[in-house]
Amino acid sequence: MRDLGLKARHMLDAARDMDEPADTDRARNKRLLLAGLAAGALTTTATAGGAAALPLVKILVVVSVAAVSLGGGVWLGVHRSDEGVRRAERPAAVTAPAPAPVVVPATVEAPAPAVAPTPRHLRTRTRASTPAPVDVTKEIALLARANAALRDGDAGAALALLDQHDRRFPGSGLAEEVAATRIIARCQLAPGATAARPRRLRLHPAGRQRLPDAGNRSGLLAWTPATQKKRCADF
Amino acid sequence: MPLGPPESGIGEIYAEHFNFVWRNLRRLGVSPSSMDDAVQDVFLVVHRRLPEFEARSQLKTWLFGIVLRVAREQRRSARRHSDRLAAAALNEPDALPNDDTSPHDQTERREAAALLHEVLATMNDDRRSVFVLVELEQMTVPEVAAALSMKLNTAYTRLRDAREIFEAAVARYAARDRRETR
Repeated sequence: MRDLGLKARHMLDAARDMDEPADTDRARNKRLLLAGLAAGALTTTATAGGAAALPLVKILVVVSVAAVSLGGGVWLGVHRSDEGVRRAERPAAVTAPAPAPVVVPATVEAPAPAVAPTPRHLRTRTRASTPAPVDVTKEIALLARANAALRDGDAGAALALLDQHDRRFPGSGLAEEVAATRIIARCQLAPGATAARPRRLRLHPAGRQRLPDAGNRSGLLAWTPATQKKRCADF
Repeated sequence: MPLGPPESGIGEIYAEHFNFVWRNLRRLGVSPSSMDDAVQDVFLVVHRRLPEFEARSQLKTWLFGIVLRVAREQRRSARRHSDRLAAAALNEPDALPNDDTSPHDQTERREAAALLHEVLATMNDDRRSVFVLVELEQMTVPEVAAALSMKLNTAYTRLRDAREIFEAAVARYAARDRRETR
């Protein structure tokens, strides 16, 4: 069979690397995958008639997408809604047998190098500067339990689990997802909240919803009746 | 005798094959705006079906089968939504040229990538898949035939057809280029 001519071969060689992803693509999609796996863990624990799980999956996946911290602000980039919904719905269609915990190997997050023990006479002066490796599987499992509590209508239990997450995993890579889930839980606890399905965050024309009091994460937790009413209007 | 699922979990597979999944979703017609969704679809399917993977084929060819189906679904979805922007964006290559290349080389690479995407979009699934795997992923034709569950002779025929299509497009491009530089 005839091979490609020189010109065509040259064109292919020039084009070959142009479809490679950037490092930011890889990092972004890793975060999305973690969020998607957590959402999948929620839906595999849903009952056969667990339609109530679905809107929470939609929220988790849609809200979790591309949560990016930019300087002093926290933005939630909400992904295209249709695709996000279909993607969220796909795991729900899986007729998996008895739920198993989502196992994401620790290598998804590279473990920190081991630190040699500090000699006794230096201990008061030095601190271990290397943080303990993050166990992403435990984080995801805890987040999934919080979302399961939301699904079951127990926002108080969800908040307790999220507080536990913050205590156990400070500086977590899933902090934005936890914050988003916390917002949903607080809105469910709001006076007059119904069991209606939470809607997706309303999109700013640019496609992003800036959370009020962004600037530090504790701002997200500083709820007054006025801010609560404003935020929960988005759900 | 099937060997059972590979030792790798989803994390290792992601780390090792993310680039392969990404670039081939693009080549198989997924628009830039749908790429994240498509990548997630692929790896969620991988995660779900990994226990079924019996190592009868290489992991990469198994992965490509999933990439192919996801890309097909994304293209169908784009057509259903009359996503004209996505169709136009299909021809836009993603990667920025390497900073080490000269401006002339950068232009050449971008134009080559745009031409490649344009030509791939005109091919049917079989020809496109065979062409991508052989010419861009450097797999052998027997490997590709096995990956796509195709007869070997069929794979050779598809490759020949795809090469002819690509050659014709390159010839037209060269002719247009000569006219424009006169």
